[in-house]
Amino acid sequence: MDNAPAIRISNLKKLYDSFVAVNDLSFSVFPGQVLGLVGPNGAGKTTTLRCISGIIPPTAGQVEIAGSDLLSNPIAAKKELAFFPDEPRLFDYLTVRQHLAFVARIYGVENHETIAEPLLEEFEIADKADQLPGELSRGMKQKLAIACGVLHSPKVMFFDEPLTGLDPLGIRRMKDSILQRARAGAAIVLSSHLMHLLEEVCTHVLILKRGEKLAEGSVSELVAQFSAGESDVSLEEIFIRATGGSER
Amino acid sequence: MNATISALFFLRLTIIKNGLVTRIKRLKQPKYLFGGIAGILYFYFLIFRQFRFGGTAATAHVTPPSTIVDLYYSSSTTVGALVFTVLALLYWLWPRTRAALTFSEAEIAFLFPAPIARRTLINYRIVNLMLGLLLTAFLFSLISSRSSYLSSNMLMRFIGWWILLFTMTLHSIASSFVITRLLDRGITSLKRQLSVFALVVIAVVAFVLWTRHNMPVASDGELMGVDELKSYFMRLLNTSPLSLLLLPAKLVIAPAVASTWATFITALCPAILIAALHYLWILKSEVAFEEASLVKAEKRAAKVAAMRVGKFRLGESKQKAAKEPFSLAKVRRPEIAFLWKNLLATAPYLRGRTAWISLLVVVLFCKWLTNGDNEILRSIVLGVTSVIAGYVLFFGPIIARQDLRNDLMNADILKIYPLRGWQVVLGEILTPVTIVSFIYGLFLLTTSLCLHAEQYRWMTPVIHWSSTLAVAIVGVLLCATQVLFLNAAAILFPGWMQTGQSIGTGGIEVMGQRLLFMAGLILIIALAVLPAALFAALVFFLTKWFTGYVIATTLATITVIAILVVEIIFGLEWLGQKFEAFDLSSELRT
Repeated sequence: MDNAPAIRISNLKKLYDSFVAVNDLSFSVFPGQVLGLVGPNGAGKTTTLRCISGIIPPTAGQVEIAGSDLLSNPIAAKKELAFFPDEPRLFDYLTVRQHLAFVARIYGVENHETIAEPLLEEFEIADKADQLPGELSRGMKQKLAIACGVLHSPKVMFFDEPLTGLDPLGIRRMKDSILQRARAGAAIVLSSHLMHLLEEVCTHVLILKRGEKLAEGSVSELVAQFSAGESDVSLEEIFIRATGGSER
Repeated sequence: MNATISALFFLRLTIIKNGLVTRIKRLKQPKYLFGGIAGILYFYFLIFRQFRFGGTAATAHVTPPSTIVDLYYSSSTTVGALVFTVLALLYWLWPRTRAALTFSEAEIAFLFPAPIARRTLINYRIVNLMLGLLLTAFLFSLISSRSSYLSSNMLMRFIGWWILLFTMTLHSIASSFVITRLLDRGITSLKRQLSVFALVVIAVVAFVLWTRHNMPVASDGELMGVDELKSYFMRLLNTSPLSLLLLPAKLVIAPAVASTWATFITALCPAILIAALHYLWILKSEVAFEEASLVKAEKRAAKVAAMRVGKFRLGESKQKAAKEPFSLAKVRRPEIAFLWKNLLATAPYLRGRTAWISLLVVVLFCKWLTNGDNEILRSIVLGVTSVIAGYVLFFGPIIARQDLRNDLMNADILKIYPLRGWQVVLGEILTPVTIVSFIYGLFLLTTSLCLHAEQYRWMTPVIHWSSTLAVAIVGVLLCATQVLFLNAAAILFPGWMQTGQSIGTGGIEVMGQRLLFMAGLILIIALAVLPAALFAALVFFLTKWFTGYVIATTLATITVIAILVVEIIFGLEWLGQKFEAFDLSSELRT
């Protein structure tokens, strides 16, 4: 594992008018780590992911992606990241192959066909390569979105509720995919309500509530922090204890 | 070419190409093929046949004398500039939130986290706008081609309109960027609106004072006629203070109203310069638009999704629990429960209280109109409301869709209710019939109240009001017939009605589909009315010799009503059977 974090967030703050969506949030993720963002509804998980992936500007704070500051040097930082929204959002009139071709051009991926073809095979969408998204199932669209995201071999990946709408097989593949990218050295941040996903996939967990960090650490550290001496305390129980069992 | 720009070009061109290919491919389906043919024929006969792009109209274009053309050019530029300036001011006066550029959800998902500079995104959006305005400019140049004072050259008008629309759009973006900057500096929308409003008031007051001093009305008689008023108004607009204020807008409008190539070329350079200055202004005042664009895209996507399943309501931003239209506690008929359910799905103002208030307003307004010295206004209201009543009767059933057209996706649920098919159909059609009938009735009442019945000796109050009632009843029955037909179309041809599950819901073929549908609707109405009209005519001619006109007309009206009622009853029974046999899973499978 590298000594330098791939993601370094310092004092991140996001205001919507006077509403504080994220407040003074700091954390780091190293290559190969998978950080799970958890929190009740409205905790600021999606806002955090959108801010640190450069989709919306933060009100204050610093975001560093693979050594580049996202605010002062957005192009360099964005070259190293990929963001996966909860719903695969695709262009209606671009085929599967054209999506990959477009992404390759945007990220300046040379000889993208040599990368795209194995990706199509890996995600089992090679036979759909010339079809439009309207002809694909929800799972296929999700696979295409991921294929587009990993095409440029990002060092940093953000997943917003990655298991939304997937069937059991899709869930299994998504988990494998996340773990595979982490093993390959990517730093990953994902948000989810599903504790089993976090337990199986994440090396670290950050609990958010009302935009503020309640706890952060490896899964074992959090267990130690919130188990109060009990054994076999699940992550779900830790989450409930940490958040006080309510959204507010 | 820069890799990012080349990628964005690739994206736009591929989307356009694939969109066209998809549209051509779907012509294999008869509904799109026939729709496409109907759409092309419509455009050919109504629009293209009259013009040759870049040349003159196929029909003889009579050129008016040059003095009239010059006068028209000058006045239309001035009036257009005034409208443009007012619109531009509205951008600053209107309560606007933070700057938002229109991006699709896919564009946001792919482009916002990608290594693309904000300025490139702005340029991408502006290029998209430029392309998008081509069609609007084309339509505007077609509409304005009806003026014989303008140039008959289509290309010239098209470029002129395009520059005008593009500059307006750029002004909208630039103003939204500046407003966002002001918000970031703590200047609230209210402060900004009050400041702009104060400036406008100062300008207006200064202009009025200047006009009083420098351009007084010569005599009382000067402004009596419309022409004199127009002439005075034009002189006012062309005086130096206002003329200077309107100058930028005049420069933008000039190419669109140019009548010759010489005036067009002369006008083109300043107009392009103003558009270019707006573009530089946008780049200079660049602000963070991503957040508001994201919200806008999400709202748009939600609206599109709602429209695709027929659940979109005009003007609705967020679904909220609506107030019950009436209490269900005492309702025994299940059909009325459908009315209750579907009224809940309509806009919250479509309720009994609104109906009573509007009725009261209409009666009071008409009373004031007929009692006072308002003869001209009364005649205008009479004419306008009678025309609107007709339009409501014809277009209302197409617009009000709170029936099986919206509920067809829930057919499986409707079919498990312990009801006969005709009961479901009756229940479903009650809402559009009630809404349209009420609006129609309101306009009919206004027409009737504005009518000077005493002008006609034969029109006693009894005849006047019984005729109004008869027209109202026949109107309601015609409305029910149309709604029944539209629901029958939804059940028999769901593929034509529910286009939501396919991508690309626009295009000439979809327009053609709608034209064919309208033709079918007119045919059905004609077929439904024909037996009633024939029998009514027969009754009228047979009885008028014995009973006179009044009784013969009454009997004929009763015949029309009876036949329409019988048709509706048979229609309900027949459509109920079709509904019972309707298989949603096979019909709506895509």
